[in-house]
Parts: sequence; C-alpha cells; structure tokens
Amino acid sequence: MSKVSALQASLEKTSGRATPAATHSPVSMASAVPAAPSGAYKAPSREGKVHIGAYLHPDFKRSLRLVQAQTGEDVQTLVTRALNNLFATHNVPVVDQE
Amino acid sequence: MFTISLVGQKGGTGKTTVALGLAVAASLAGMVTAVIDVDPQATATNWKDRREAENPAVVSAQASRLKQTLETARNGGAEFVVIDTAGRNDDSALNAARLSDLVLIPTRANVVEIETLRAVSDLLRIAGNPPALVVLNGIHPTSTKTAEEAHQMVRSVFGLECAPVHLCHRQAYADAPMTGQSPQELDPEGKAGSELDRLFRFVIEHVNKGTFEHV
Repeated sequence: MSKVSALQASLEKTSGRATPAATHSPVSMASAVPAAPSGAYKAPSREGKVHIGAYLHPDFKRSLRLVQAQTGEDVQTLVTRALNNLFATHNVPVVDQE
Repeated sequence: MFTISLVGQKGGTGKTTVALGLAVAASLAGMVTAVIDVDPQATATNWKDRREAENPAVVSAQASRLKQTLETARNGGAEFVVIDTAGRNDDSALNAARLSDLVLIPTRANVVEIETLRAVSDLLRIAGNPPALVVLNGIHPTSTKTAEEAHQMVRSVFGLECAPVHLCHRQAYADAPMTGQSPQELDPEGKAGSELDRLFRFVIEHVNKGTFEHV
C-alpha cells in the first residue's frame, strides 16, 4: 500500500469513528473526565463548558417555558438557538455544538 | 506538515477550487497531501470520487473532529494539508483558522463580496489572528486595474493583505472538476494551472518564510 493510500485509509477510519453512539456513552464520558481538584466537583455534562447567565424580568422565564412547552426542547437547547440567532444577526461565528 | 485552510462567509467564491488546486499542486510537487473537507456539501469529497489518481487523499470530516483528523493526517505522514470549509461564518471555519499555518480567503473582486470580508476579519480576530491572505478570484483575464483596486480596498477597509497571485476567470476551472482533475492536470501548459502553481509556490514560501528549497 502506498503512503497516500495508507493516509487515505487512516483518515477514513478517523472520520468513520466520529459517529458511533458508543463514543458518547456515559461510561466513556466519565472515563474522559480528568479528576477534579479536591472540593471542586464539576458535573461531567458541564466539563469543558462555561456558564452564561443573566438576571431578567420573570416574564422572560414565563415565555421561555411557553416555548419549551411548544417545542419540547430543554432550556440549554433554546438558549443555544437564541444565542446563535444573535450571532448570525451580528455576523460573528455561530456555534454548531451545544 | 503545512496546514492551509480556505475560509469565507459566502459560497461560490472559489474555496474548493483553490483548495483542490493547491492540493494537486502539492501532489505534483511530490508532497503527500490530504484535503480535509468540513463543508457539509462535500464538494471536494465528491471530486475525489470522480478522481483516478490517489494523491491527494480526501476525507469528509465533521468540524468537531477536525483536530483529531489533522492529528491522523500528521501521523499518516501528510506533508501538506488543506482544510476546505463551508461558505458561512461558523465554528468550523473558526476551528480551521485556529489550526492552520495560513488562512486563505478567496473572494471575487466586487464590492458585494469584498464587503463580506468584515465578518471574516472578525472571525480571524476571534481565532487569534492567524496569518491570513485574501486570494482574488474570477478576475477578467485582460483586466489590469481590477485586481490592483481590489487589493487597495481590501487593505484599506479591512486591514487584510492579498496574495500577490490572483486567479482569473478561465474555463479550465469549470472543466477540470468534472473528471476529478485540477486545471494543472487538464492542461499542464495552461494559464489556470500556471496560476495555481504560482499560488502554491507563494503559499509554501510564505509559510516557510522564504525557505522554499525543499519543495
């Protein structure tokens, strides 16, 4: 096998590994999380993420709940979508990941 | 390993044309070459399906796996890697810009397209200002002023530099992909192939900071 053929094969292998559900199992997530420093537990689902928050009028929460009821999506998904709409309006990079 | 990414906010500016042209130029120069296609339209990957030659290797990859795919390319002995991104301002373009030695931004030399460079300029700032050059594409072959005026506009309005080599509007750019080729292969003596070859040599020289001898 030539060098380029070997490269093509290994690239396809890496690309093919991107989708299996097994790579996203709770077990593999847990094993990928580095040990937290003592007294600073961070939930695995929050690893590698930052918190963005704001104090808003209660009506925002009420309307948010109504959208949740209509779409069945969780708050994280809705905030992600809202922020990406904001980014698109201002021509800054939108983010594909939640 | 040289890593070049093609970034731009619009579709149809020539990102894939430049990506494949550079990749073939690198292949013809004897370099083990890979194209990482993170554009969901997978134009480069479809080109590879029509291609008979094995170099360059082309893989369609998810933007979120770009780092791992680049690592695989490096471990697989790739010497020249081109990342082709989608024509929109998103995190795949951002990741590609962050992971590249040089970002190329193909654009046509009209004000409508040049205006979109503001968003690309912002993206580059967020990516930490990697080395980046605008590549003018679709210039009329007999025009002498257009490219020069566009260079000045790009520099003065957006603070971006243009590559000294631009691509003209030539039929070979449309014909070559139909058979999985690039213009250099379709017509080795042609002007389109010559433009791509000069662009490739400039890119290598630019990344290498003048040490071009090994190519």
